[in-house]
Amino acid sequence: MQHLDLEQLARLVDEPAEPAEAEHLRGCLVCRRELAEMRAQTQALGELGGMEPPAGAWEALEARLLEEKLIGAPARARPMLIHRPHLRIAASLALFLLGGAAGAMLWRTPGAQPLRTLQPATAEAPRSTGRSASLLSAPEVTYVTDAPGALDSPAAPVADGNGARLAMNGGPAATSPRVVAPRRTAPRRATAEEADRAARELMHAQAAYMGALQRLAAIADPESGNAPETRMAALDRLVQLTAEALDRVPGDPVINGYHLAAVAERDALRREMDRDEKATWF
Amino acid sequence: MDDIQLIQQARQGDGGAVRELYQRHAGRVYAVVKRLAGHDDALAEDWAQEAWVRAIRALPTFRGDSRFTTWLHRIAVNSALHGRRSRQRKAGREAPMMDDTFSVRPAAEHTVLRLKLDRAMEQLPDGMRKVLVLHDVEGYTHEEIGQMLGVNPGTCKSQLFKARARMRRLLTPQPEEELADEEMACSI
Repeated sequence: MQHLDLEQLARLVDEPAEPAEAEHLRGCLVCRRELAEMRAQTQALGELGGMEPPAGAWEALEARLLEEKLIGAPARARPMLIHRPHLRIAASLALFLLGGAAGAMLWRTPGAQPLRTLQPATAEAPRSTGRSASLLSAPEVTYVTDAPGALDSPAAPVADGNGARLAMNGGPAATSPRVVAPRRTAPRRATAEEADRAARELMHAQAAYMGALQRLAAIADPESGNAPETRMAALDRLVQLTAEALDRVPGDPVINGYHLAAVAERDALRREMDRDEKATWF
Repeated sequence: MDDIQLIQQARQGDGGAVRELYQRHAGRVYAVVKRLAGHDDALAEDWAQEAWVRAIRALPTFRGDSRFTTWLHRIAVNSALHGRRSRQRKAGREAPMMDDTFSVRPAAEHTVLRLKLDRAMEQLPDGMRKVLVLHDVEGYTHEEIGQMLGVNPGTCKSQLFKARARMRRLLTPQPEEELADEEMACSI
């Protein structure tokens, strides 16, 4: 099967498909998935916001405005209050990524606990040490990061009356479980290194997601040679898992694309199997 | 105080009003010129400053037919596109400067995905990047972009589709094994 190339898919983001392209898309899970992700990419670009100008930019501009006599006197000093829309954008973009992570984790871990919250990877957000799994915080898990060196140590779960809490294993706290005050202390400011670590974790999660997508495509691809029952089983599982993920992150464009494509593919396969059954009733 | 009131004061040379306008809109102006500049932060700073100087100079001509942000944004885009042409003319006479400004930016200021998108855009060829930024990020139509760049809308579309496809390839993560290998290589 000749798939649509990326430039064709890029055009289909905002233009209608030609009849042959539409026909191909109806029957091709891989291309539908690619198109969904291309749309998500375009949407994410449209949601990119402002960037904070470098330090000293105003002072340099002010000097020039004075020199050109465009302002009369130096402006009264006030704290810079540059809007930071990127924090909001970060949330939506991180959702794009973490949605993938959710899909990957659900796909990879049958029976996984329901996902309640996904925290965006802003400088203020998750401070976990684990790999991709730690990005998906369970309902009542708190990340405790006030111990020195906590971020470099593995985590040890500590149970309390409200459910599991996750205490970081750093220093004396490692040997004796302690009660954690529920977020009353001021959060420690994240460092650039921690942000980099979170970025790496997200990249691993995204890579895992892509791996899961590729496995799905390989199993469910009509040209894979796999038995229809095998393909159907893979699609059933995928539909179920993505539906569960969408309960938690209904707006995630990637999981939506993934889910819709899998549902359509499963319906097509079901029709095909029904036809085969009727044709071979004897 | 709204933008119109600030503009009236800024026209009289009130530095405080200019500064307030800057504080409100600097992020958007810097973002568009930075994305058009690609990886060259120093160039983006020059263009942003040029855009502001032009805008303050032209304030008396601002009639309020469009929103100030729209008017200012267009000036920023024009400054960047004009700046690009000036820089290309100078390119043959000036030795390229080493650009290490990006690496010293505090990583914590950026969010992961935004960083990935911006870095991927920086890797696009100039023509593709300009069209992608102006269309997908800034929301200009193909006709408007065609006028700004002096190309026909069809060319603009074609460049956009190539740019999106290139972005998709740049943003597609490597398989986990390759990622692990890469990290291992980095840690050696």
